[in-house]
Amino acid sequence: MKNLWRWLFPTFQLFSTFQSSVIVVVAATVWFAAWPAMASTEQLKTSLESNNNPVRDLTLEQLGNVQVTTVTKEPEEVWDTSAAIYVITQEDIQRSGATSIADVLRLAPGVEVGRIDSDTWAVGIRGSESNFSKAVLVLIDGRSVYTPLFAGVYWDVQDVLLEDIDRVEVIRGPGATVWGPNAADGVINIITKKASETQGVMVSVLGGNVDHMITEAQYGGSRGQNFNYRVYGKGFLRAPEFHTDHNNFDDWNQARGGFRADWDINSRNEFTLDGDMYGGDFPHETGPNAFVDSVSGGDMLGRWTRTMEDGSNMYLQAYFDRTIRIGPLSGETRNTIDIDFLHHLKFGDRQDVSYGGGLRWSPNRYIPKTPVLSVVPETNVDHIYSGFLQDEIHFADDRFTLTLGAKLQHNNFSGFDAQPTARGLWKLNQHQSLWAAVTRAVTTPSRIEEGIQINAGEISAAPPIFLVVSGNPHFQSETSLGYEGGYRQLLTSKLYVDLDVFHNDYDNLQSFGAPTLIGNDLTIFYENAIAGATNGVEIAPTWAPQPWWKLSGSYSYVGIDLHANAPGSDISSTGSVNTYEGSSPAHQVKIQSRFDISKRFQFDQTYWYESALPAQKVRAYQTMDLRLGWNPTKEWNLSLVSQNLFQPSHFEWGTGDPSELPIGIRRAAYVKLSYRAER
Amino acid sequence: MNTAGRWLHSERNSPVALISRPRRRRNAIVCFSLLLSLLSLIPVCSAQQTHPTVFQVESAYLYNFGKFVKWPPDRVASSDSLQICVLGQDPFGATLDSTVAGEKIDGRDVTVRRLSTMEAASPCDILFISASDVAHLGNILAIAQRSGALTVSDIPHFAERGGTIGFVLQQGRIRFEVNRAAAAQAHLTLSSELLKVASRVINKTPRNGEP
Repeated sequence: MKNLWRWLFPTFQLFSTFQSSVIVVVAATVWFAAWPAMASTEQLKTSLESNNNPVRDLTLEQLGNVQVTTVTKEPEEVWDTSAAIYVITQEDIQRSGATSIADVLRLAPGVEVGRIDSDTWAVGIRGSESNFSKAVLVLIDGRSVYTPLFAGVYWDVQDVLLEDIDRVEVIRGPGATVWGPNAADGVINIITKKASETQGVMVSVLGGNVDHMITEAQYGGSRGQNFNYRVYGKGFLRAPEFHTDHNNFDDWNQARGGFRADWDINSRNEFTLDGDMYGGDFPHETGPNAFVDSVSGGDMLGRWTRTMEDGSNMYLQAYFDRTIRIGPLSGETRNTIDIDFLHHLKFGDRQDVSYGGGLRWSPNRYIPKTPVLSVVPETNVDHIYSGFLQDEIHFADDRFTLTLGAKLQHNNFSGFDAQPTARGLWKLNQHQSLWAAVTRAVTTPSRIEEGIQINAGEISAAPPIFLVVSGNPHFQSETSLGYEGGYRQLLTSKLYVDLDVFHNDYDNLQSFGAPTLIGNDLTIFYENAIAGATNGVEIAPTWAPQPWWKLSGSYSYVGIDLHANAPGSDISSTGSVNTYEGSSPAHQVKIQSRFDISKRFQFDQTYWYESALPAQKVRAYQTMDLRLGWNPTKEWNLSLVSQNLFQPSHFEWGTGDPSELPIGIRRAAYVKLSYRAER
Repeated sequence: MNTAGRWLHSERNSPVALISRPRRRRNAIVCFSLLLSLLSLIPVCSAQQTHPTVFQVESAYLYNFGKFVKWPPDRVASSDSLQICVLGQDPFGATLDSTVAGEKIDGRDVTVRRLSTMEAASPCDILFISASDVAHLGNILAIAQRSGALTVSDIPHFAERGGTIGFVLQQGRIRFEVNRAAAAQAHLTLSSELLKVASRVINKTPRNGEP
């Protein structure tokens, strides 16, 4: 019992004695006052199920004012999917009080998010949490935000107006064949609302102790019936997190602007154009020294979607993305040009076939600033060519669906890779379904893994020996074979549950080789010498006990068992058995509770428990965010949010320097005022 | 001071040692009280009246739409019943039948039929499209429009996607959005009362079911 207590409350310092007494008294009063005799719900139920519809004779206007018991339906978008998918809705985002995309992702089961400092996060899915976010494919409206520089995501420059997000689809497990490369552990697809859904003026201002200022302004308009657009601007200023060494280097700021235009050419053709530009700074730390990089970039994407009369559709998409990051230690400029095509058609009575392909060229230049760090060759064109084919076959009146697919891709680092998948879905009845899948996925090498040169200094004077960490031109793709399955059931009209299990076999995971003496250089090469497996389970129930109270949450477990096939070195926040196994939380518990107190007031709580990350020097922690929202009129909203409530600060992820303590993520509070007037 | 010092010394390696024992007990009481007071809200609300279900309200709406929509006069004259059809997985069950049982609108009996495909859909005056058929929405709307049915559904963004009336859930209440252009294309006239009560009136040309 004592150990359970310690497990539940490792560092729980909440209220002073006085505050605690007040809370206990208030709670006791509420509890005793709210304990009436319970009416028999059975009697009420039968009267409603009897012949007469109690609301039949109401007028149209009266019908619109009736409070209904909301049924938790099988969520349509996930019911027919043979993958572990979770959809974060705009309402989830709004009521969580999150202020960045990486923080929004915390809401999904199986997704691991650790804030490193004010401007960096480690994100992963099912055991892959790392500051590189390597094996997770992240897309914003179809544009991949993955960088081949280190095979990962720069989360600091991935931003949209969170109010414009329609939903975030999180697919855990090897991304289905249709998605792009490097989806070995999952796909995060951020989809923004159409321009027709963001019409009118929206202005919002936020101020707090850590998120110092976030200002957003947006205008949406239209020309005629079929052309809608929006333009937006956003700027923010964020304070440093808590540093035990008082080196508060990570305050940062960024500004961005952009637009989206949607044109319904006729009822069968649709065209979308969107673009963004941003600029800001990116402070970071190496050892005791802090540096500030300047970041800027922009992107433009166009997509043409065509629907045919028989229900088949196709799209053609092209985008250009430019990123510039320059600082005292290093710099990179990168242009990405990507063209994608997909055609989905019906083949006979029972088959849905999709095929398509894509080309991505990414000419880039690495700018060395110090002799310590360089990437070879400095100028390069990274490319990926891919093609895929998928067939979905429906049996027994659509109760069984078998999906077979394969993606073939070629990249400049490691040549050809094949990613086949086989999936099955069985709908047992209207409220239960079962699915299983086997998929092979690869993570392509990055520029760093192939060509980095770190001259770490002289380690011996006589004879002179220099320590070098070197990329490996023969670095291979990491591979995984994933076996997964899931079960979904609508248990009652108010309770829905989603259960998923998985086992992934990994091979050729990135490692650092044992030091080899080559001339005067003691060299540590990037190798592919780690292999093993991960296992896990996720259970995510959604429960609406009352029309005004919705609870959703998840428990997930990941077990990582890896081994090295050759002797290696443990020199970084990734790349060793120790860091892989000790950088993902074995257990995660997430709970989101939403109260609609009245027509105008909302009170929301979000709770997390994350178990320890020993390789990152992070203890197990639990914390909570609270939000109180008030809509005095339809147009105005005032929200008070407090975050990370349980401790003054807590650690979520290490700095990568084993001699340093992680940076503390602070307890925070902010006020947000927003105005929205639709046309 | 001495007691605290001795206690801390003995549990030096435990992170819990950073919190003194009286404080932990206090934390426990606070936590438990908050939990209890939250739980106490549950019996309060089940003691009040149980609310109607979504489908009772939607059934009542479907019945009412028959009163506030005008079909072409030759169509009305050629049939002595106003048919409400449910396409796909039926979420209403007996509720819809009991709502319209014995009712007449403009002298016509109101009847309910269930369909699994659009083949027999031409006599339908009101067509409720279940979310189970969202994948074929474009096709369904095209056929329904040609046969002059009032299309209704709870599929998200239904009115935007070319349906005539789409149900939306707003703060625990069922409202509806109306697409006038879609109604016009199906030769239907929507009464001004219906348009007034609608939470949103869209005038766009239907995009044949595309999201």
